Amino acid sequence: MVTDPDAVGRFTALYDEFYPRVHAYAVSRTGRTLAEEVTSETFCVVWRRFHDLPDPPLPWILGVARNLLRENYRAKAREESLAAELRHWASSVPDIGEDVEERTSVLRALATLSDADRELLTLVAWHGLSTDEAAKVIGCSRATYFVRLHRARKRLERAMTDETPETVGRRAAAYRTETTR
Amino acid sequence: MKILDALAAARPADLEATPDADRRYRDLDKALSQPVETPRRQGRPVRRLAIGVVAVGAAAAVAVAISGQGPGRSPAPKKTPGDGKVGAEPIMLAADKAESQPLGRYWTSDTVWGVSYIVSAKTGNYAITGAAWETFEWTAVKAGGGNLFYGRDLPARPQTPEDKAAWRKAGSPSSFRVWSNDHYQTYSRSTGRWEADHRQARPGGRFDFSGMGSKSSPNGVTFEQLRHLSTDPDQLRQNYLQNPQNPAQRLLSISEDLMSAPVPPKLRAGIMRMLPRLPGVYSVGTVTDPLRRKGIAFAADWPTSGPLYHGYGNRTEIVFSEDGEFLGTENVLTEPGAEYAEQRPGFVINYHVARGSAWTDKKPSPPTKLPF
Repeated sequence: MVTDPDAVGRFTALYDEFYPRVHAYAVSRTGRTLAEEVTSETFCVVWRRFHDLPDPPLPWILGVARNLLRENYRAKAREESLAAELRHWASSVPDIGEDVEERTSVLRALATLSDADRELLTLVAWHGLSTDEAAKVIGCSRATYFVRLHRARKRLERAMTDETPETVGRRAAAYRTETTR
Repeated sequence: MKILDALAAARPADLEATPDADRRYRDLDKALSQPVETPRRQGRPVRRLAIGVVAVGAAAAVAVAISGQGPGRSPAPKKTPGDGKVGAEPIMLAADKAESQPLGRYWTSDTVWGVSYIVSAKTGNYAITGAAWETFEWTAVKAGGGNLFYGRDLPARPQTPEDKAAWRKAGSPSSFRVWSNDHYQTYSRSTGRWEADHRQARPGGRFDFSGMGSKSSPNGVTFEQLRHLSTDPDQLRQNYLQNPQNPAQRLLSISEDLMSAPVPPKLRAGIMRMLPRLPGVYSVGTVTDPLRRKGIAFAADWPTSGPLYHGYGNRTEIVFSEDGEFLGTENVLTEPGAEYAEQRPGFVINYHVARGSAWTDKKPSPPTKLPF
């Protein structure tokens, strides 16, 4: 028996609470083809390193997922899975409200950015993290994160105002080079 | 236009997913069947987890254990796995000496953790002990008397004189950047301050102990329960075998019990007598532990296949002094491979040792002196 079933109970509660968040992060980073597997592996590491779990746990858990993605998955596999995901996003914006075009435009522009920029932006805009928390996921200082985020925002703005088929193609090529090097 | 707001508004609606029952069961089962590692994060006390098995969902075996993380060179003498040259006699002698020790109002347990790493340097690689950590816990024997857990970082340091020379050659850096499992981690040569874990303080009177078999309670056991537990080695063996663990995990479980509970001398003697009767446990003979104390050890090998196999052979050794004092456990390399391909058998991968467990009538406080 375990003399500390509390640990198991806390872990399962943690799994139930954060599975959707980790899954969302994994989808945004690598597409849904690999997301379940990444999420599952992430919670294995979380349990193995349960002694190290900080409070709040989410930035640390997402950092684990991030490390797993970087270390355990080939760039090509991730790229293919993510490319399918990006197409899915841009084509599945619900046709409600006035801002359908804007949302589609943002997603298309996002798809042209580098993997690093996309991560910086979505940690804050999609995953609800504060800049402090996002910096912890990335493993950099808050100041560094601010600087990087600022640049990424500028690039996203540029991509939105400069979105022609030609520039999109050019940016997509640049993005592929950047993410696979 | 606030670009981040526009981006937030464009968030795809289906990023989140909730696992179905099958996925949830498989994920939890997979995770919980893996060992928990020694703590690595710095600056915050954490309470130890004990070892054992509980049901999760339908059923899931839970094994909490120390696992290897980084290479280094052992301060302990080289040992041959399963040499069997020393039988049960020395541990019996130690058990006899353990019969007469005093009691008190409080019980304290002071333990030290450490992990070996190799530092890459242009002037030559060297081994350090990093992720070094000391915990101190006191618990009143009577409920309501209180309990408090403390932790502090210990300085990372070169392991052997040769390592120290190589470290000096590298310019005597005050911190060490090493590869740890899946990321780089930096360990410094400074000592952290003791931090008390008031949030998890308990009322006292109960201790973690897994050696009561099916009668073990998740809330821990009282000293009275421990006093009345059978000290018969065969009965104790039966108790411990109720926990479905591999032999090495079982040794870690026993070690945790001896660090977490004021095991009365007679019971400790019974546990020591039980060790050679456990499946997969063999005698190692005399060893020197990471705190440079001589002791006698029993060991059990980690599996050489399956999910717990990481490409190298290793075993857990449980060590007692010749006077019957419990010294701790160390995880020792037996067959070089994977990240330990260049290390020799006998290399201590990591350890968790008891610096001291004592009875006292005075309210305890953690030691200021370093353990080494």
